[in-house]
Amino acid sequence: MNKLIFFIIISISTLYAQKTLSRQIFLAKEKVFPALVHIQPIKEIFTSGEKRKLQVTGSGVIISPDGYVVTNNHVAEKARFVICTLSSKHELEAKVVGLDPWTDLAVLKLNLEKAGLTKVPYAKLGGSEDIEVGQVVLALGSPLGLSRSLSMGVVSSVERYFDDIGEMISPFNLWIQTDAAINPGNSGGPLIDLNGNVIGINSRSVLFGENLGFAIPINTVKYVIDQIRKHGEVERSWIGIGWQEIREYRKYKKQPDLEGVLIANVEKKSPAEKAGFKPGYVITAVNGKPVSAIYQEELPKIRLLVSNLPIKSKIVFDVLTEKGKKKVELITQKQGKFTGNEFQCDEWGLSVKEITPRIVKNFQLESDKGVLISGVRRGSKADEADISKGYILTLIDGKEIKDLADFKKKYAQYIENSKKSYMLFLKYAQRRLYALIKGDK
Amino acid sequence: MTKIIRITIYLILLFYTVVSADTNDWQKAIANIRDKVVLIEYYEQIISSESIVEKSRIKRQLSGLLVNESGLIITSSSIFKASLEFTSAASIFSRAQKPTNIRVKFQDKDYQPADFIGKDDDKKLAFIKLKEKPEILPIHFSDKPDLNLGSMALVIQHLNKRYDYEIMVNERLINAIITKPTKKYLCENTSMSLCRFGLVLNIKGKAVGIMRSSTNMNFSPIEFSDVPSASPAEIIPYSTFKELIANPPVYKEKETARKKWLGIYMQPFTRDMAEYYNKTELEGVLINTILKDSPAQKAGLMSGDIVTSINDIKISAEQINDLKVFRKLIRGQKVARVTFKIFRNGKYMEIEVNLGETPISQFLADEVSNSTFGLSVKELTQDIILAKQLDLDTDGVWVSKVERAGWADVAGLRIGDLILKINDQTINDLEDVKINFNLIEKEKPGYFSLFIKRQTETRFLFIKTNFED
Repeated sequence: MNKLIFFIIISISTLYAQKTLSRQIFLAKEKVFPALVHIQPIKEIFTSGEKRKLQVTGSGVIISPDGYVVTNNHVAEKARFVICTLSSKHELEAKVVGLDPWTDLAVLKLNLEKAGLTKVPYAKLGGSEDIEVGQVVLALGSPLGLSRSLSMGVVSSVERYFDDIGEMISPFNLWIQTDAAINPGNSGGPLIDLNGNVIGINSRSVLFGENLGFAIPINTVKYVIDQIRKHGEVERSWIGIGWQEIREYRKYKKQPDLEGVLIANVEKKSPAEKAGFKPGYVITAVNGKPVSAIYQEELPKIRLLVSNLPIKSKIVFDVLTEKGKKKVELITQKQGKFTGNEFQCDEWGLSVKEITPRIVKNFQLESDKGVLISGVRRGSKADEADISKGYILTLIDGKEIKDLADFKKKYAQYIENSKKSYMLFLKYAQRRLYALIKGDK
Repeated sequence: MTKIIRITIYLILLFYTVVSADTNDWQKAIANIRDKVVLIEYYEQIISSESIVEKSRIKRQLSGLLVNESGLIITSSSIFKASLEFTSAASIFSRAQKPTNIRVKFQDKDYQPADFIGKDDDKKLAFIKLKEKPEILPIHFSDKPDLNLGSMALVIQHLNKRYDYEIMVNERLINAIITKPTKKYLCENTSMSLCRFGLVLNIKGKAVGIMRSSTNMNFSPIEFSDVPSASPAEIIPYSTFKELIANPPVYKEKETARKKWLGIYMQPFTRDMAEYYNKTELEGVLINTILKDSPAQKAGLMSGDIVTSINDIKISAEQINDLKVFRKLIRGQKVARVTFKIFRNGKYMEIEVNLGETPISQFLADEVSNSTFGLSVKELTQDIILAKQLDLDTDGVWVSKVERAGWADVAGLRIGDLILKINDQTINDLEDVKINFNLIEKEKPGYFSLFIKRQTETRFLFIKTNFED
């Protein structure tokens, strides 16, 4: 008899648990589903010197009754025109409020007035500090364009760190890893807990990997939303230091208890270089507060310590050099633009791009003077002159091109007289090139 | 009427005589010459950038031609693929080693040993020499190629392995004649042969040239479906390699004689440019880039100079292809001192230039390997500097090999990394590397550090050692 009761109790409790999980999922979904948006931006991209249009699909989540939407930068960047479909199947226009490529986040604003709406359902943002590995999470979005999909998984890791790969950079992010199915199109959609709170924004999956999805923790998202709503961008302080964790350095130095973070790289002409920082120095405190990064995952924290300071802040570093301890001061600068503006020159058949600090660094340029040739149209005057993508245009008819604005101004004058020829001087690494843009005959 | 018939018969007879004569000529010629077309067998080292000690090698075959009494044999430069001189940035990972265990097989005879002599990368030809004087007489080439557009030529090659390297002959129509920068003839290629290399006879059965693979590496654009992708075979006449046979290039590693070098990048000075500068009579080559510390810079040449003549030989270029003439003229100079006539800022002027030797490629650069640490480093050469877009006067060493799963690999070192410091000691050259490597091997620390530059970023790598193992 006892055995039987025991057996019954077990079965009922299992049933009950199953029911509650299913119920919990359902309730959580119900809370966030109305705030889920399917985003279809029309992007303007430059290929082969020409502006082309491209439609992509992504997801997003409404975060306020007046229609602010958070999504990924890679969904919303270069968007000329954004259409958002709510789960009520209302189609609304949206404008891009601000983009932050450094964290891969973007904020949009729905045009409620035009749609005749006064408010929209929104999702509640949770906190990412309490997320635990093993916790059940749900991913919402439009994987591969299949709108309003839901998938479930657990949190696999809360501090996944990625090195930069080309344009895919995330110096400030520690990612939430989940086995909830995340596919292209899920990008920008919310990752929620069983209480229906948004705890992350789904952003990345691994090509050929299975059940490996990555979301940006909501605390990072909240900071970025706040900055974008205030300034239209995230203003960050920059000092030009590349950091490295000290795990192996400790062993090399035979100082197993050393705390601090190693300087791996000092950028040319940066505040750090001017202040005399050198690779090999170890920073032990920032503005009196001890800092340490034993593992790679601790680097974003160090970077944020600097970047979140107001621009032109004074920072005092405690530094360990080969000659002993010292204090070094510097004033931060504003972090440069991630991507520059692009401009299409129909008459010459090329597109040019602003030279941002990242281009200066990646192309190892001496200065930011000139414009970057970002594409050349086949059969155009520029193509005939053997100009190709990647060259930096520095002179036209012997006159210096300072920046994109300067180029645009001069270009407008040049094309007025289509009969005249122009001699362009370009460079690519050590190579120089004279290119004659021929006037019409 | 009979007259016409008689003339016709006469013509037919004449035609037959000509044709049959040709056939006979070719057959006779083949019988005479086939034993001078030899099969070369050699070993090529298989190079792996993931292994410091090279272990495997592969047996290869090529065709060759006996060209003098003492046993000199000419063949394709593919017998030794490394480009010895820096030419462009493209050769970054082309590594190859001198062929070993070379043997030559004459028809119906045993293999005979031979040595590698040298090669000419411009002409894509190489030389080997028999260790013992051969009994067979060499090929006698004719100075008059007698190859015309539309005329026939006979190519003698070896078949591939499947057919046991038998001699194969092919009749080839001369499809095109290229004159710049040197004369060569194009004909269709065949896929049955062992290699592109072969002997060419003209219609009279005279040996007049060599068939070899195309030197023009410009690939055609692929987006147009009617662009054929196969390149033709090239026939070069005797005049192109006569001088080489008399004076074969000798490979002496770093001491190998190299061609003359100016140290510029250039582009055609086109008619449109001449018009732009209101100088319609001006013809030449436009110098756009002067490499740092090059002979060009030392002579005072400048970006923007238009070279109109060299040693009174007029220069002109309308298309990129025309620049080859200029290049050949510079590389082929026997004397270092040449006179350039240039046009600069509206004036003609003469400049004396002392041409230098072409810098070596990464292939001839010295290398320091350490199989315990699992890495090899090489001195920086011009080709690597250009490929990595470094400043031209950058000193230092770069990582040329990383042993798979070796100490350096585990620490994250990659091929192509520049080593700036070892254990806080600045590294300027291979000597510095040797000193520091020796020190580490003596002191046997648990870790040593490398400060490296990868693309645009510097960073530290800490290499865990395991000397006890």
